[in-house]
Amino acid sequence: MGFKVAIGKSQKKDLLEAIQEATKACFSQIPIHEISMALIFSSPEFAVQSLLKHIQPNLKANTPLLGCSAIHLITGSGIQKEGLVIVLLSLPNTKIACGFTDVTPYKNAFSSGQELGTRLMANFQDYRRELCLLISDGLSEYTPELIQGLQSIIGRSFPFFGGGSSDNFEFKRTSQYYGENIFTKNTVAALLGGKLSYGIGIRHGWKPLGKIRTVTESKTNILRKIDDKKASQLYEDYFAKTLSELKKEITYINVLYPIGIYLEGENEYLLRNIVSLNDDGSITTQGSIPSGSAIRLMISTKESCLEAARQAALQVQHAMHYKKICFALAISSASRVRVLGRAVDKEVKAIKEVLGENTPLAGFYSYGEYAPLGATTYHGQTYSHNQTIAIVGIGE
Amino acid sequence: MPPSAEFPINILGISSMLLIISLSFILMLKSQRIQQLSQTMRYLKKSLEEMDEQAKLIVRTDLKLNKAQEELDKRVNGLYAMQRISQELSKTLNQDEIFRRINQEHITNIGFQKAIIVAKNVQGTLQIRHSTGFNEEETSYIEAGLIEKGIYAMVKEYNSTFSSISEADTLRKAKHIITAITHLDSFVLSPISKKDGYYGFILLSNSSAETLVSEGDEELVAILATHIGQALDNAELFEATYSQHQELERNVLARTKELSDALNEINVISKRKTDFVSAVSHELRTPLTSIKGYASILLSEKLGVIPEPVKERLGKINKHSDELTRLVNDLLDIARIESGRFEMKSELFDIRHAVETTIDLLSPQLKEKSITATMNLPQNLSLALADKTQISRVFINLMGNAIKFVPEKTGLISVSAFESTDTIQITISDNGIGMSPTDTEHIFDEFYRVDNDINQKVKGTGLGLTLVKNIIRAHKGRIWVASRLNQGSAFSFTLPKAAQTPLESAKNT
Repeated sequence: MGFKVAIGKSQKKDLLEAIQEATKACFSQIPIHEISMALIFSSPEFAVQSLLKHIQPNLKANTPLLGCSAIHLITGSGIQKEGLVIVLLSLPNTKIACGFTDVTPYKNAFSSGQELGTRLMANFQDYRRELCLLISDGLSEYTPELIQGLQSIIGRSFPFFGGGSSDNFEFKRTSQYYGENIFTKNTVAALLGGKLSYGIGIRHGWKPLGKIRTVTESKTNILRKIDDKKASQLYEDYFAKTLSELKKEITYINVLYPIGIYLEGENEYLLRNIVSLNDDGSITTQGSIPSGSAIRLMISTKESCLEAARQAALQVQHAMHYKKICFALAISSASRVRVLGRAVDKEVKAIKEVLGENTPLAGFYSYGEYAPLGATTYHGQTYSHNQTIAIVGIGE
Repeated sequence: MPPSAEFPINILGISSMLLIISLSFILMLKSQRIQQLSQTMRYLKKSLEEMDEQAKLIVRTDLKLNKAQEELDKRVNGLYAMQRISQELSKTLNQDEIFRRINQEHITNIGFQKAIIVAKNVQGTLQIRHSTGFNEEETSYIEAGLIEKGIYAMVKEYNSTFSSISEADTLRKAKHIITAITHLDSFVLSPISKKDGYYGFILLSNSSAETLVSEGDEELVAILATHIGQALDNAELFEATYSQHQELERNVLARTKELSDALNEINVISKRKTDFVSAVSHELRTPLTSIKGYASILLSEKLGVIPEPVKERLGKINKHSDELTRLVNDLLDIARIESGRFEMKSELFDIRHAVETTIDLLSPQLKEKSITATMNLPQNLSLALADKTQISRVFINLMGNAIKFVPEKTGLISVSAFESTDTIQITISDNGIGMSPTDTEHIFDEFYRVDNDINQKVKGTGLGLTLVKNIIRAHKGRIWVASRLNQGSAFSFTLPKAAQTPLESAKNT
């Protein structure tokens, strides 16, 4: 018995019809008792209780089911702007432990992460842990802290891979799926161990522009001063706009020109999206920027974005020593939908060019991606990324 | 101080001097180098500052380019969507259906999230005919608000597309009202016009404040409004044509019914006439037989000798009685055939033999007028299936007529036949006085007699050809005439062909 994967998808507008089409396509391919885990990604409109209520009965009791809502879905045949994708995995020699926790400002995100980590590790003493899949509320600013909490239990250099659930660019509500539950402000995770080979690739394609600046004052994800000037000055100078003008346009500008943190030994800068520009001139970012970081304004083109997708896929192949990839999970930033515009379909093509036409592929467009950094200086520690395309290839 | 002690001091002094000199020299060189380096640093710093300025220019230009590209993408998507909407709208010719067919997907594809269309309904009441992105409660609130504040009339007056970014002073009030009622900061509004003028308006909007309306949006919405107007015009035109068509169909049905009723009535009358003729003829025949019988007895002088003048009158009674009997018989036959009571026998019928017999029978009359009668029948002419007695009557009747109307001495009568798959067509033509088109049209009607010199001299009932027609029809054949005044006539009729028996085939070969 080896690794098996079955993918079902539907673009139908009617929820029940879509579920029927997608389940019909995949559940017949793997016997129910062999299914180790199910992943479900759907458009935000389908994030309703009946989605999981109709899918769960097809699975054996306690089979892990994880997923989320997303602006667009990734399938082997391209980008799907609506509907759902179901991935069934049969990993006979792999141990899987699942859990969830809420990620809200009311609860300390770090300790939530620790709790989740403890729960995942509870039954894992006898197994070698390999990889942790993670899906979190893409609108939460606290996921990086939560990841740190997880790392304090599972290991600082332990690889986490995942992304933030997304909505239709309304930034109002995203959903996370766990078993029969639909959450809106949670993190769901699956710890995989035992026999499993995998490879991770993550790239964005943004290039630095202008001179390097230094963060002189910051607290977690609030950037107060850059080169001893108020943080917002960076954007005010570059775009020749006042703070109030910028505040109106920042969601648009941020997607195209995020902040890049220089990391010694890394191929690319670590990108940070701006959540808001504040009246006092500070900048709230998605993911933290430590004081003393060397930062730059970043710029990209469609071509560099597509090249990044190819590079990420190549990274996966390289990490897997060019062995057969049984399934590839791709999590791409929703910002890339904006940047690529009509060329968004080409991203999937770029991945397939590298991984091969027949490699099973699924995934979604996210608000934030989680994957380890490659350089030895960072010991493979997982960070929260923005604007990237992250791919994990899984093999036997 | 001994010279031996001075010497080392001198050496030391000189060495120190040299060292100082060389150190000064090195220092000089180093400070020069430092100066050079600090200059390079200054240059580098300047370059960096300049590069950063260039970066600023690049970023600003890139932002503009991106916005332009996005606008272009939006336009292209919008046009594609417009084409799809247009196709969708052109698929229906029902006005209400047009509004139903516009859906969320269409609105999203042209770059908006919400839409309403305000127009008058069939009863002439202003209402929201289409709504996307609003719930029922919101829709009815907006409907009431827009109508109350007179937006419909304001749009009619402005008569052009405008949006939340339009700067015209005249629009300030309308824009304010729309935003107040719909809570939409960013919208485009375009009047919908039909051929007969202003119809209503469409309002499209973005719910998220990020996607602001652009001038290109105004053009796109104006195109959409035009499409809707055209679709409505088409639907109206179709509805008008359709209702005309329906009216026409109703009229045709009514007329058809009238005609069918009339035909039924005619059939009833015709049957009554046939029945009447049949009854009357029967009633006439009995007294006629008596009259003829008594006249014959008197003429035979068995009851005593009768004077010559009485004999002559009795002869006339006898002759007229015979004519009357023939007339009554003909009438009876016609009535019988018409009513279907007369059953035609289906016998093998040799046309050649029938023609020869007829010519033979009529030879006294032919000789009397020195008329040539020829027979032009194909060899191996098939047998027909017919009632021998009745068809003989047809031949006698038609040839008798021909003899009557051809000139003396130069008269020609010809009988020909032509065979097709199922029928045999027989034509009897002459070079007689012929008929006018009006006469040929009525020649088979009952009691119809052509008004010519010959008919005025010779008595006739006008029933002969009617009888002929009925006999042929009773054989499922056709009869017709081709004739030209003063040139002659040709009467043709068809008879069913008998299936060839093996014996017949053998005989024919």
